[in-house]
Amino acid sequence: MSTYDDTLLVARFAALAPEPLTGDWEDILDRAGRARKGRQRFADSLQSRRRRHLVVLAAVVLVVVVGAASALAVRAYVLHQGIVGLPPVGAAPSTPKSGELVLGFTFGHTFGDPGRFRVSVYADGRLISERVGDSDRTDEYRNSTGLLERRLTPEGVELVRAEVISTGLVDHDLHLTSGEGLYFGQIAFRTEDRLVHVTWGDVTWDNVDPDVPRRSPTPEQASALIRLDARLADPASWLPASAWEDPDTKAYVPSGYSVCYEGGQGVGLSRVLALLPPAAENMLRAQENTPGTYTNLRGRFPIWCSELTNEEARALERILDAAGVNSWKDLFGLTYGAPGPGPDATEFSLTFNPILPDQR
Amino acid sequence: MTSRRLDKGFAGYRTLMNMGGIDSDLEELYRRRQGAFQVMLASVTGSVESARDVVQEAFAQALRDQNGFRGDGSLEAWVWRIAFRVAVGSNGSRELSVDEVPEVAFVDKNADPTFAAAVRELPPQRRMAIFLRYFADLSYAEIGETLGIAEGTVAATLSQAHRQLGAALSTNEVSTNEVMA
Repeated sequence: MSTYDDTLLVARFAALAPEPLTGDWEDILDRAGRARKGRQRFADSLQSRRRRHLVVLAAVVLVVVVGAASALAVRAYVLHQGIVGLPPVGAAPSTPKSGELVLGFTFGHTFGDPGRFRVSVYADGRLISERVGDSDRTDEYRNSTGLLERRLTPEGVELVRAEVISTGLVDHDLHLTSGEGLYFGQIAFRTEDRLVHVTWGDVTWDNVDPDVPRRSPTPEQASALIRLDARLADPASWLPASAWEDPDTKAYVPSGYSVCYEGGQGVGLSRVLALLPPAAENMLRAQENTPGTYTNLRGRFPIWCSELTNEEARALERILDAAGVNSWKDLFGLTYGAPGPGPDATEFSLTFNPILPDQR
Repeated sequence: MTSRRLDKGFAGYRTLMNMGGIDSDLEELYRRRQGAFQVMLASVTGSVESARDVVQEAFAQALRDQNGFRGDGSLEAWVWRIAFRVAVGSNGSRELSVDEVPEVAFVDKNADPTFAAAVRELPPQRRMAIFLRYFADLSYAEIGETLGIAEGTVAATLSQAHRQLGAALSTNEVSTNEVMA
């Protein structure tokens, strides 16, 4: 027998074919989603997720217990420290709701989220920054700052722009690998007509082709970026008094949250929502949602995000608390979730991500 | 702060509300062929349960990324390519490169071990072609589109696979029969 007969192959393959399961077109429609908006906001809502899953279990032990606070205590909390979680009742959202991004800067100090610094500067003068804590440290860098807001004058905005331009790296898009002391990061810098993107390290940023060719950074390029990180992390050390409209650091209070929910690899929207308490499920079903996926070292995961006002976010928080759903505040913010069967899995998780002015 | 990693599959997204084109074609394809998709993809993922999830996700991606279908080939072959990318991604985190052929194997490792062993010995492209032919029931043209090779190459690949299987099985099965006799 020099070749194998086609009919015989059909029979032998048929005998080895597993029995398919029932299909569900409605589940596909759920996964594909319906009318939605705010892709940019969704993208940013994923900002920590790639790495977050690597540390989520470790982070559970870092639960911050926030007891019921008096009104005065709440006000002090708002004024002197960024919000990690939802804003207290009565905290006034930053105005205006939306703003044009002049500079977005992210700088990784490790290959993971811990230590990541980012800052956004808006044409209206707002400078909003955040440093994610590093649980391996015991000093002031251990805890996340939450989102902090200061206000620059137009002169201050121009001085920050000049500092970025002085690196010589934002004349055109530039994509680098990690190395020379760089882990990952990006600059989004507004020129007259567009945002110039500079990226480095093994990450893919929104609006940047993930397959874009990358070059190794030169020592000079790395040095310029490291220096810029230090300057932007402490602008009060070099900006003159005239650069500040309000030099006091306050908590950035968002006017809404992007609430993202997921159920793990291959779990569809309907199944994720069905895992939630019924009132939470009904609330989120009534919202538009943006579907997407994200990838980390454990694989690719579907996720959905809905935009809620602060009041709606608090209502959802109350529903989840009343239902006894586990919650924790970690380096990244407020997360609710129920543990799954595996040692490194959650049955579902739901996170609250503050919406920034350029995401409106 | 526009920074964040986005999955490649998300880049081509557009809203369902604005789509009209091939929704019904995709639904018809799904209703007609989702069983074959599951059977074939189970050979990649290792179980029919995970294959079902892959099929669901692949069709959802197809719905979202309709602008990725240029209409110059068969819709089914396009969905197969999406499905293989999803299936490979479900096993790890990597993407399937353009010219890469996913590894396929029978889910039931114990059934028909002689035949399974012979199929396992086929080079990856021959093995994939033969799975697409006999599990997915694809034509030569559709196999070619799915794998990105010419129809003539498909014919040659299948012919080589038949010959290799014939040689392996005649030897093994004759030997087994002789022993049993």
